[in-house]
Amino acid sequence: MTTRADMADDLALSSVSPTKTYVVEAHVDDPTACLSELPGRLEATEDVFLFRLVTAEGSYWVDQLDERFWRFHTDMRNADALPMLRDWVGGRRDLDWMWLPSEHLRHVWPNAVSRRVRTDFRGGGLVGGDAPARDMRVQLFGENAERLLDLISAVPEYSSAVSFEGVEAEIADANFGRVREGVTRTGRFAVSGDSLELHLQFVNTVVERYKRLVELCEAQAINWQCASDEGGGTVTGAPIVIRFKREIEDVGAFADELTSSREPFRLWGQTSVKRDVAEVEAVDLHVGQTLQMDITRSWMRIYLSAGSCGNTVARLISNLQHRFDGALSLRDPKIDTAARQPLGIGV
Amino acid sequence: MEERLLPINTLLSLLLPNDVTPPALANGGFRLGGLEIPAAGAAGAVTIDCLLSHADTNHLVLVEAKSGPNIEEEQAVKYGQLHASAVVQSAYVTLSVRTPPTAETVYLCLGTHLERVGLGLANAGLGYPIMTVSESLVSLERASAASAGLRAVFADGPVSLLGPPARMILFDQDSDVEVIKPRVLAVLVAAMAQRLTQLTLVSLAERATPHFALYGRQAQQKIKSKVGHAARQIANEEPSSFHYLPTTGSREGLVKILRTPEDNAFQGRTQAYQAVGRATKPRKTRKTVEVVANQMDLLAELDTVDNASGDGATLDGGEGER
Repeated sequence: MTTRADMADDLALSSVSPTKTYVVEAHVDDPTACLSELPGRLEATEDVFLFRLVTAEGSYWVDQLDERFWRFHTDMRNADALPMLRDWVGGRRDLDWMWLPSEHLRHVWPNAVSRRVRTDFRGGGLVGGDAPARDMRVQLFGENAERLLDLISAVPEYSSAVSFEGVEAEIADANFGRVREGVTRTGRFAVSGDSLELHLQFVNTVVERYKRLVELCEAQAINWQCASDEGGGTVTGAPIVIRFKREIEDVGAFADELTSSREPFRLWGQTSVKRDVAEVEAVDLHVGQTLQMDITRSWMRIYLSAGSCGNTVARLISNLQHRFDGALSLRDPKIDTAARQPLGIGV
Repeated sequence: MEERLLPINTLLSLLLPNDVTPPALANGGFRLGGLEIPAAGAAGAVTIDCLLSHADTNHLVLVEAKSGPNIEEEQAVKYGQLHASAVVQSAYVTLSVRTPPTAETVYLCLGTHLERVGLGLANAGLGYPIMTVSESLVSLERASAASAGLRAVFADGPVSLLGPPARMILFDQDSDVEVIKPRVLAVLVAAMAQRLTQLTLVSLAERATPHFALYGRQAQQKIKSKVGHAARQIANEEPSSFHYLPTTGSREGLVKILRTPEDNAFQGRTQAYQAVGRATKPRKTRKTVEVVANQMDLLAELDTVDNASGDGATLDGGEGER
């Protein structure tokens, strides 16, 4: 019978063909049934949380030990492994990726030596044409490669355009070994080295930090509670406020662009603008849930309803960092800490 | 936000932590005790629009939120006859200190309606404090009649608002159908995304009005009726997507969803969503620049499929109109 030890034996962590881990966020009632929809042969293992999915392209190890954030491990090439998962996640309203805030990549592991960092800012339809850095993509290769980006971030005109897209770092642990990890902001990992255990710990650390952000957003969700059949009740929760470091030139155009149903935001919306405030009735097409927003020139208010997924807010934060303001902050200090503080500080 | 809902939304915003609006009432020790609370006193029953409670003193503030300038004298008198203990029981307020609860009534209105509301209360022989709201300030008038706890909130003068209040109450039973319509359309688009084939008017009203259950039966009926009007208008404007069936003697009214963009291939899905509600959604366009990445490392390996598919790798993903 197959066990987790077999998974460890199977995954090579080769520098030539690195092992990949894809993290999928799931809200499903029957996790096994959900997996069985995937093309290929789903094999149970001795571990009830662990499955092996064999497809024409290769095999995945699916670990559902974390009921909400499933891990798909494989040695397949990304070009072979990702399309099936992407179609599956994109076709269901109860699955999503992780959307890591920029700071989660900037400080991905305590004392990690970064070897390669990449930022990707594409202001496109949200940033005005006169902005000093409308688009900015930087890739640095070398030890502690992020230091130049720290310098750029310190320049006020450019700080909004620094947004981490991916990082590659070397991690060593006396008890486990050494791995070289590449991770992108949508929770896709590539790893080579000599310790699957260290890789799994690395993924756990990234996921747990992200999960905290998502759960804090959900704790803020607005919840109307009825007191009795005669009417009356109360409301708990509050909107989540994002503060921008750069100013929105035209709130109506900004809201229209944001809610154009296109990737990466995938928000549909109707906007009305009064006194330079855009009031938006939106739908998050990733999950099929309604969402309200107020947008002014310097801040945005997001109304997340009880029962909605905090991933919606995390995705919005991450995408706004890459499309409008990499230096944005959250007004709620707990959520701001979860999204922006370096690992190990207040997290 | 409708101006008539500015007072109640501002009041609620003063209770919110970490919002743009300063949480003056929350900082003063007040918490939300309830909304639309039915309570009975010696003069009869009244529905309290908003109930504030002070955890340290067990003091209750019974707020009548006026969306207009007129007051109902009978209602105002009933407020004054409510006993704090009866309100505690009606609103299920949890008292955490062993102190008899106390209560005061406060009227809440737009600043422009202060004179009329004040006159109405005076005619009824009532000296309730009045909280007034404008776009930039919240003030307490007739402060000498207010409790010490409430006066303390305004001890430094009016509370300055740093932006519009949160839209906690999007609309109510007296709102125009045009105000409700965008919200109803959003609920229908969400249903499309979830591949639902129909929604009853009750379900539509509940989804469009998060606070629906707080209202009494009469108000719920009015909201349901207006949501139905909005749904019928939307179906008339988007006949290829929605079909409205009115309530009959034997069947609850419903909206059928005739097609969903989810049935389209990825490329066409975005355009199909963009088309929903287009009649009322003027768009602005901007020129954008497409950038192609070219990486040769671990991260590039992770990106190869994304860049080819346009999953967020290009400005518009190579789809949709601009």
